[in-house]
Amino acid sequence: MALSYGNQRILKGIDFAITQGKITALIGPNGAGKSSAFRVLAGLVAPDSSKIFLDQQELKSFNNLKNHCGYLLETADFYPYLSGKKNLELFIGLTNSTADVSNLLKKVGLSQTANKKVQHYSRGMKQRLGLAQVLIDNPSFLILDEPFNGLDPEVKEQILSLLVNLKKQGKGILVSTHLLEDIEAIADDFILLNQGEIYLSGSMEKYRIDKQNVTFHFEEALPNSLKIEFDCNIKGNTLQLSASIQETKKVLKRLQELSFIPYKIERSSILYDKYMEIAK
Amino acid sequence: MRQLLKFEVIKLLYRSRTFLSIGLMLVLVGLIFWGLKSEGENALGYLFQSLGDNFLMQGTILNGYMVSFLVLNTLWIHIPILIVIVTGDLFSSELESGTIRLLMTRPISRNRVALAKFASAVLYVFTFVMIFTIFSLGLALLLFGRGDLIVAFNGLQIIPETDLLWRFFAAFGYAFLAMSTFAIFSVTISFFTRKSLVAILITLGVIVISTLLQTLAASLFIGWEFFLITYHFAQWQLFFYSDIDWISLLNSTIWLICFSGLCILVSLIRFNKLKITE
Repeated sequence: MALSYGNQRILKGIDFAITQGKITALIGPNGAGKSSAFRVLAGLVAPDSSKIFLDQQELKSFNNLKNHCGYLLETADFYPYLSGKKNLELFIGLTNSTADVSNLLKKVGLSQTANKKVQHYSRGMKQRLGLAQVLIDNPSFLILDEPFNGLDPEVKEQILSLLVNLKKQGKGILVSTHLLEDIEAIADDFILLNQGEIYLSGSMEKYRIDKQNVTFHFEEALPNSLKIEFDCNIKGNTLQLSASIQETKKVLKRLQELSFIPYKIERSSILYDKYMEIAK
Repeated sequence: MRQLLKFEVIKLLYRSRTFLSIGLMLVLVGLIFWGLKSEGENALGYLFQSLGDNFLMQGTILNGYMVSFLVLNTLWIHIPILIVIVTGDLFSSELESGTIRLLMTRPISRNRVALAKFASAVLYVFTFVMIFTIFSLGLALLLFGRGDLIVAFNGLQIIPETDLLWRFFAAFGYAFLAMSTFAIFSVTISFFTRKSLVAILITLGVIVISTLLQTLAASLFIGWEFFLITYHFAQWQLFFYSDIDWISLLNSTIWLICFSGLCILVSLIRFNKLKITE
């Protein structure tokens, strides 16, 4: 898809795929074109040029995609004078969906506040209601732009695990976020966007195999004589090394055998590192 | 389409301004009733004191028909204002609050969304005019009784009671068409602005300017009044002439329908080209 606003080229012909049963992270700095890409996908903005395929069949426009997708674009703006429940009922009625409102509200943890007017909802509650709305038609694909905006850590964790469950049910999920470490833990693929172009994309698995900087934190200083089977650097209470996820697991096991139990393990974020490459 | 119309109607029912404008209309009608009940007999009696001596009048001069006619005459410029408070922001409020973005991510076409807004506006006008008719005619007949109607168009005309009811229903029917046209116009304006207040003010501004030009047209721009929307609104009065000018009424009816159609067409083009970015 390519998109311009006047003379300004926002998306310079980006090309990507979303696969069922996978979570694809769309990341990039502000102004990279993420939200514009989402607007095109939702049929809110007509692109300069585009081609879209669903199961290898070309679709006429992005509007034809709407029957297969659920969208949440940045903030979920519902009708403020209606309750969360009434809002959902209205949206369900629009497409003759058979979705159960109570079930949807339960999924996103809003059962207790279902009858409260949306104008009294916090930003996080609106986001959760937005996610419930996405699931109304049980779509094959979920297009989520910044779904974690305004969520407190507890709710964010609930939503992350909801996304993993939905992925397991075979949904294809495209999600953009600035919470790189969180999304890295659940994403299968990533697309790194910069200035309207794809800077880097691919499978997270490939990068998970790659070595990353790992730091183990202990409550007490480690002996310099400590021997494990990997090159490592011991500095006071910390042990640092470069390792893949599998290697990290082995090091942890070895440390536990030697009765050194770390209270925290830090592994540098793959997406963060790549993100910082373009930020610099 | 039915679901979308239901969607729009439910939204209207949950908004306080929907009932506020109907409430204001009832207050205005009530005030006129109260004024006429307390002082109307004296005022009208003074104006038409010689009529009773020269003509055989059925019933009293200040009867339900006369009251209803006076209400129509007084409020024909106020009613559109009350209607536009509701219909003027049907679309712009969605743009302003961002709800249109959420709505348009659903698998529904833009044309249907726009048409549902127009249909809900017309449905609202229908309800409004129905309530207005019941109160300003039905209640007036109950409170003030029946009788012939004296109107001062091209001199005094006395319309017998037996010839009145259909004229009132026709006038209210025409008022529904005129008010629907105005509601459709206000919805169209709301497609062009993100601020609800701006949409309402622009529409009200058109009433004010059109009324002013209509007044001037009588002396300065003779023949131009046909292009003014308020000229066609006022045509309901033709139903209270002894000899009704059906050609003028038909022309105005066609004008109002064509104008409504044009407004809807412009709105559909506008909405289909609109980039929903916020």
